[in-house]
Amino acid sequence: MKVAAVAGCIVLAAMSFLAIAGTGSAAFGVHIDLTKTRSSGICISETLSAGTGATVYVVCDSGQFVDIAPTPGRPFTGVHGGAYRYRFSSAGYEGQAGDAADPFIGAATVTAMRVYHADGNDGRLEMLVSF
Amino acid sequence: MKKLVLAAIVGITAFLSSSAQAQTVSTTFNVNINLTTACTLTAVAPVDFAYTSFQVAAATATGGTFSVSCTNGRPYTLGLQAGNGAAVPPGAASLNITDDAVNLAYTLNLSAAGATGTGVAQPFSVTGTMAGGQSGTCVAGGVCNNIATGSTNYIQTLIVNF
Repeated sequence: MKVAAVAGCIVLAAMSFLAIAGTGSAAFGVHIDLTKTRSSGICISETLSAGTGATVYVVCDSGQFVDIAPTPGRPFTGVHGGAYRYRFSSAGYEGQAGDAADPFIGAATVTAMRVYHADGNDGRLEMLVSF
Repeated sequence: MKKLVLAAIVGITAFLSSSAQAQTVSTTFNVNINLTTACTLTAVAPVDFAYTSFQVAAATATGGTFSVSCTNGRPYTLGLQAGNGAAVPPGAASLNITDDAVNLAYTLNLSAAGATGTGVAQPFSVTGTMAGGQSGTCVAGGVCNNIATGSTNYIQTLIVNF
């Protein structure tokens, strides 16, 4: 089918068209060569990490897999958030935040959650949130 | 001898008599010419786009040249029609098309809306523009050509109305 179409195009291109009193027409082809920018690649940006509510646009070819993740071992700079500890007891739980939890801020994943002794009343739930 | 002279005199007299009676007859007649106007349209060179995904600037097509020869003095107009179906005059001044293979939108225009025939070929072109910022679709790496990847709407039609 494609061969026939191309052949037809070649025939059309090889001839002139004579029209008498009225209308004449000729078909023509539109050829498009599309070059892809990159088939794969990594972009690194830390410029927006110090702000909140940042919006990042990622534009790729259709059919391309897009993964957004922090660079391993390199947390966002200008961390917001903090470490939070929740202590469970028979009376319920109380929250404790900030320095009292001795949070670690450095190379880490964006978010982390650890559960200590969650099987007893004295168990604690610690959460580190970075953004 | 007398007979001979007499015969000569008679002959000359007869000749002179006939010359004096020559006349001219003439008549006029018309030359009727029915001229049917006609136009010839050369093949249109392919309209070629070279585009890179997400390029900022709009792309301008190359090619698309053609010429029209119409009867001297005969005005004519040009039009475009999407697809390669039967021409439906007068056609449009421009076309907005999205190629169904590489998924890129483009616009076709004409270098002129028409002209008056001069009896010789007059050059024109189909111009094309493709807006920047488009992604396009290209499964394979490198370069994708719309025809090679199965475009079904890459053929358009040029119409001459006169």
